[in-house]
Parts: sequence; structure tokens; C-alpha cells
Amino acid sequence: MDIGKSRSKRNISVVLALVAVLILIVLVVYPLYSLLLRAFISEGKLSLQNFHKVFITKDIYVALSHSIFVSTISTVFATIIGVTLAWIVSRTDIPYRKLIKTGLIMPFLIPPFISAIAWLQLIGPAGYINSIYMAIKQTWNPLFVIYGKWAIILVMSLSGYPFVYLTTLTGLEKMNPSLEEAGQISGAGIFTVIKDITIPMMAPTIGAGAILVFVSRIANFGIPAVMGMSANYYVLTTKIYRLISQSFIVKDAQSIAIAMSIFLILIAVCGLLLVKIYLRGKEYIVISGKNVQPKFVNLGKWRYVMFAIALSMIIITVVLPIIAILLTALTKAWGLLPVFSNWTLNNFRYVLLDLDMSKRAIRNSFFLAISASIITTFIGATIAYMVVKVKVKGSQILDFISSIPYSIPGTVFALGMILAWNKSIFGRFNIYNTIWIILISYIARYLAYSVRTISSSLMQIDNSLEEAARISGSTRIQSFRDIIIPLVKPSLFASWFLVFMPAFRELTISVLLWSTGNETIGVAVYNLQEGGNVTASSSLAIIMVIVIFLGNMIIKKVTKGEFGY
Amino acid sequence: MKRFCIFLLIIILILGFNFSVLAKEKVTLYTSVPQSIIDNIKKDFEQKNPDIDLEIYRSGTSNVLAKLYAEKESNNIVVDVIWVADFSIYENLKAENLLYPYLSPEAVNVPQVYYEPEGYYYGARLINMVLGYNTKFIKGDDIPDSWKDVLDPRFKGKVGNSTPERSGAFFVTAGAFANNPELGWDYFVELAKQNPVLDSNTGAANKIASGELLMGFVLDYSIRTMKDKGSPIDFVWPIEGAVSVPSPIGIIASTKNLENAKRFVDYSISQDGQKEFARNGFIPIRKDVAPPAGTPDLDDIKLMEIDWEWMRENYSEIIQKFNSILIE
Repeated sequence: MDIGKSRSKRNISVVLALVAVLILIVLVVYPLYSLLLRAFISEGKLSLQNFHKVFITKDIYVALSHSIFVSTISTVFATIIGVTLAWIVSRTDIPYRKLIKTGLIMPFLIPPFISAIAWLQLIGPAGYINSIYMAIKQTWNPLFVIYGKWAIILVMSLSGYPFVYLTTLTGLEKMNPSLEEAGQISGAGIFTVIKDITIPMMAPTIGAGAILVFVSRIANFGIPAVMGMSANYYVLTTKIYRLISQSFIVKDAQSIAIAMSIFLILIAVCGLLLVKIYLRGKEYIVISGKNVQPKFVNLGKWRYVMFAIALSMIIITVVLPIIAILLTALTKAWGLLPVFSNWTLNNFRYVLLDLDMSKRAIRNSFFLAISASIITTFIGATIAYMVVKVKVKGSQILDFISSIPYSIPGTVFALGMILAWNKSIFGRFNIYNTIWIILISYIARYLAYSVRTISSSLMQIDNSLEEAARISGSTRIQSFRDIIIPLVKPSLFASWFLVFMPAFRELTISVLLWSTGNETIGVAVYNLQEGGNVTASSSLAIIMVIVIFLGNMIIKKVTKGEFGY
Repeated sequence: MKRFCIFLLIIILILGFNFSVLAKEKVTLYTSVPQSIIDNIKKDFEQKNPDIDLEIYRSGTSNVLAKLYAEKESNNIVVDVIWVADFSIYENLKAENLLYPYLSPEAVNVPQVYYEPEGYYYGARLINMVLGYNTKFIKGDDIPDSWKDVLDPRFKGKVGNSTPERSGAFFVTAGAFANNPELGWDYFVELAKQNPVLDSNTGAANKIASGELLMGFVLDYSIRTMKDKGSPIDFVWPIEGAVSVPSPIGIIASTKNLENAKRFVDYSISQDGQKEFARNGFIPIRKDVAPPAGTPDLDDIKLMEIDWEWMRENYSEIIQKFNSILIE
């Protein structure tokens, strides 16, 4: 150990630490500093002047109350759906459990704004259900109108439930079933057991899952952008987007956007703190850490009813939306009935061959996702190594800072990026309006995934292995290369994948940072949808979904089911 | 793992290489012309100017302008040519020294009213705000002839329009309505009661075609092309007058591709360019180019008066007044 603390080790550690700190300052601290600076500094003094001006703007409160309304209601729905399904899957003898269990996580694979586009096509005023009804009845009055907030709530609930489902399922599988069994043996019915034993024990886990849904709904841009803006229903994220796009028309637009960002940060931070507190309580409740196979509730004749309910959930959240976009992608013009005589492959030809913008977007998204995932894995590995192995004083702070960009809503982070980089560096370089600002945003945004994955794998490597190598005479670099790298290799790969997937489908950040030539696929789909070219946007969305599903399949195969859904 | 890393690096190199090979001569255009039409124009322009790549950023007028101003703020203006609606915006751009005066040799063939005398901008295409309706549902007596038909309570929630913030053409429309003695701001107060769906001009047209809306404010050229493709949509020239907006092209003063920018402006008002515009449904500004089939002569149509000077001076006020009635 004394050899290990030699000067050379300290030197390398100091250099590594400095590099990590420098990267974090550029990627995370500076953008946040720029945002807070604009928020709290007025005429060179620390003040709330900027807020004073904008806090009288009614818009802020309208958007804030809309955000809270849709997020709360959809969280309630998502929680009910998620908990029920998790209980069915983990506690009953439902048939085809494995299939249902994984199928119910599939909604995670469809980007929320694509779900929104799909649901607009299904239930919108001119959606498939209404247009078929109107064609049959020869009327201009649709069967039903779900628009604006209720449409947002529907899609937010359906795309949000997997958060609760997954956390509750993990909790239920880890929970010691003996208490529930004891309850049953003492003669309590299923519902009494659920009400008096399962739910109270799982409450912290369910609560944490619900808060995660809430925070992710508040931060979501895609769903309210697709379903709310044309209905004139703005939430915080879409309002910020609109304000930034009209910053030269409306006075103080930027200040208002910044003030709203502060609200978003506060909500997100409070939510995540609550999750921490809740999950701390959970430690006492989960007695057995291992997965224990509980006794399944015998559903009897209800087995297939439950199966049908779970299956229809998968169909509603995954199959139906994909079919809707696929039909639209195959139809000659939006508004025509999806019958065979109206089918064509021209829309795919248009986005893959004719339209430069979408061709560029596909190339850019691959470039961004691949480079961001490689660079992030390198930086993440460095930080994880500093935090777990080297343990330089204050290295915990590195871990904390690297988790910030993911904890705050993407819209806010992108706004920070704009404020930080919209001027030239040293009067020469300017990364604003280039692809590089999107790249560094992605690196910062997904750094937390990388750090977490790699540190948890580093933690499992006992120091004695490295020490043994060092005693046997290998240099620090040799021992690192021959011992650490091979052992953490799977986690490096996992980190690569965990960054690649969300970066590939990203919309919230790139929609604020893109410029001509630097579109991402998400931006291309969104812009085509916005511009009314629904058939083209659907074709591109289908291509995006295919890449995501393929990527997921490959990863699942390669990592033997450890990663991927 | 090693092989995998090498594979990824190769992909990055290939993708990254693409960014640098675009070293061909280029000109960057920011425009609000719908994507499908600007695609056609790009193809035609590049065919006639094979040495130039036309790079396009397309969005609504307000997004285009926001982008221009953001670039100006960051001292990194990428755009060479800007093409959005309408004259009043260009007067402001000119006053802010953002435009480059260029007298094109083609200008002699264009009526004086359609361009700035010193060549700061050319109204290269004429777009008209008209009243569109769905032909599947609106038949016979229901076919509108006046802007006021939009206010029929039967159509509540089934009408739509853009906003001045989003669309330059709609900005001119809002201003023209406000100044019109028959309509005025009262018209929009009444319109607000109809719960109109607010979308882009193209979005409104799409919603009318799909039957989600029954009628609304649309631009004539988009309806012509949609109708040609078989969509159930048509439009009328309202009796109070349509709003005709010449949508101008101007060169940005700081352009680094001045010669290419000039060639795009030349093209846009040339006979070739105007023919391509007419093929996409625009009414040409040159008398020696035939208008799209079935288009009446603009001299025979009632058009609303537009006070450009007033519009320019009250840019923000018009937008805010409209927003206070229909949005907030």
C-alpha cells in the first residue's frame, strides 16, 4: 500500500482529477452558472429584479398550473396502472408471465413524442377512429374530441406507467413474501392482504416510482408539443420553447423563459430529494435481498381475464401506436382512409432519398449517438475511477456534478447551453449553431448513466487484485490495463449502449439547439409533423422505431439479457 | 471489444467525413416556403446552377427571424439569403443594416411595386390569404363567400387559422383586417368565440383537407397543389377581399457567398424561376410567365388595402393585440 501511495500515483491522480474537473466545468458548471447568472444578476448586482419584472406575467402561472395539472393526473393514472400490473405479474399465476413481464416494459422503447404523434392519428379529431366513423355516418361531427390537456394526460399516463411498473415489480420481487403468506394463513382474503400488508410495505417504492413519473412528466417536451400547442395549451417546457423562438418579438422573452426554468429546476430537485428520502426508508422493509419466489395467488377462472387485461395494455401502448404510424406512413395523403388502394411506399422514398433534411438528420443522429456514447464512456470511466478507486478528497463532488445535467429537465439544460455558448470563445470559435453544441450537450446529459454503470462495476472489484499485481511488479498502467479494464469491460459496453439509445432518439435538447444542417432525427420528425407533413413524419418515425427496436435486440443478445428491455 | 471500438471509429470517420466533403460552392437560404415546395425549387435551381449547393433551413417566419437574430447576436451569421413574408419585416431588416442592396439585371422585367427601388428585396412570389373549405362536408349553400361565414355558430370549433407570430402572411392579414372598416379587430373578437384551431397556414389547410376543420384561413397556392393531389379541399376569394402578400427575397449584408446569393436572387425573378414557382402554385410576378391553371387575373380580384407603413411601425403591437384576443 505504501508503494501505491508513491508520488507517481499521486501525480497521475492529480492529473486525472484535474482533467475530470475541467471537463465537468466546461460541460456542466459553466452552462448552469450562465443560466443562474442571467436569472439572479441584474445590473451587476445580485438581485431578484429580473423575476420581479416577469413574475407579474400571467403566462408563467398559466403554464405552471398546466404543467402541474397534466403531470399530477397522469401520475395518478400511471401509478394505478403500474402497480396493478406489477402485482399481477409478480403475485399471480397469470399465464405467459415471462412474455407479459417484458412486454409491459416495451413502451420505454417508443419515444414519448412518437407515441403522441401516433395517438393523435388514432383518436385525434381527424384520427382513424373518428374519420372512419365520419365516413360511415356521413357527418362532420366526430364521435368524440380528445384534444389538448386530456390527450396529453392520456399519452403521458400510457408512456409513464412503466416507471412505476418497473420499480414496484423490482420491489415486489425482492420483498420477503413470508408476511403476505402469514396473512393468508391467518385467514385474510387476497384483498385484505393487499390492502393491509402488500401496499403498506410497498408504499415507499410505489411513492418513489410515482415521483419519478411526475418529474419525468413535468420535464417532458414532446407530448405537450405535439398535442398541446395547436390547441393553445402550453406547459412550462413548451412555453419556454415558444419564448425562445420568439425572443426578438416579445420583450423579456428570455428572462421569462429563465424564470420558468427556475421553477422546473425546483420541481425536479424537490422530486428527486423526495425519492432519496423515500428509498432510504425502504432499506428497513426489504428484508431479503435475494429474489424470493412467492406463493402465487391462484386466479382460477380469472387467469385469462387478467391475461387479457395485461395483453391489451401491451397492445394499447405498443402495438396500436406503431400500427397507426405505419398506416399513415403507407397512406398517400393524410386524411385519406387507410385502405389498400390508398397505399404507397412514396413517403419512405421521400424521407430516405429525396428530402435532404431527413437524410442529414439520419446521418447526424448516428454521428451524435455514436460519438457521444464513446466520449461519454471515456469521461464516465475516468470519473468513476476517481470516485471509486482513487478516492481523492472531494471526488464525491465529481459524482454529484456529473449527475446534475440528467436530474434537471432537458429544456432547462439546453437553455443553459444556449446562454453559455451563444457567443464566440476567444473571439474566434463559435459552437452555437453547429453540431458540436448538440454533441457536448449529449455528453453532459448522459454522463450520469455512464458514471453510475461503471462505478457500480468498479465497486465490485476488490482492491487486493490491483495490489497483488502491483506487488508482483507491474506498473500502475499495466495493472489498470490487465486487471481493471477486462473486469469492467461489460460495464463499458453497457455504458456505451445506455448513452447511444437515448442520444439517438433525443428531441427535447436538440429541438432547441439545432440549426440548418444539424438536424437530428427527432427534430426532423417533429418539424415535419409541425409543418403538416404527417405522412413524411410518420415514415421517418417508423424508421426511427425500427432502429431502436433493432438496437435493443442486439444489446439484449450480446449482453445475454442484462441490458435492454 | 477492440474490434467493436474500431468499427465505431470507422463509422464516425465516415459520418464525420461527410461534413467536410460538402466543400462545394454553397448558398444558405432561410425561408418559410413549405418544405415540399422549397425542395422542388432547390432541385430546379441546382439543375440550372450545377456548381452551387442550395442549403435550406425551413420554418415559420417567426422561427426564421428568431434564428437570424440569434445568429446576429452571437456574431455568427450563417444565412446568405432570407425569404419569408412580408415587406414590413424587410423594411425593418433594411433599417437595421442587415440587408445587402442588389439590383438584379432581371429586375427590369418585374413590375416596380414588387421590389424595393434600390434592390434590398424582391417580392418574388405572391401569396394570397383566402378562405378554404372542405368539399366533402361543405356543399351548396354552405359554400362560403365572405370572411364572416367563418363566424357561423354551426362551425364552432371547426375553423382554423395561423397567428401573426408564426406566419408573416397571417401577420399582414391581421393588420389588413384590423384596418378594414367592415371587419376591424371586432372580427377577431368574434372569431375567438368560435374557438378556432391555431396552426401554421399549411397545418390549417391540412386539417381542412382531413375533415378535422370545415373552413379557415389558408394560402391559395397550398390549396391548389393539395387539390391537384386529390384532397377534398377548395377555396374562395372572399367578397371583402383577399389579402395578397408579396413574399420577398433579400440578401443578408454580411454574406460570405455574395456571388452565389446574387445568382439565387436572379434565378428567383428570372423567367425560369418564376415558371418553377408557377408550377408550385404561386402566382408569378412577371407578365411573361403564365399563372397556374385556373387562376384568375389578380386585376379582377378584390384585394384588401394594406398600409405597409403602419404595419411596419406597429409590428409588435399588432402581434400583441392579436395574442390578447385569441391566445391569452
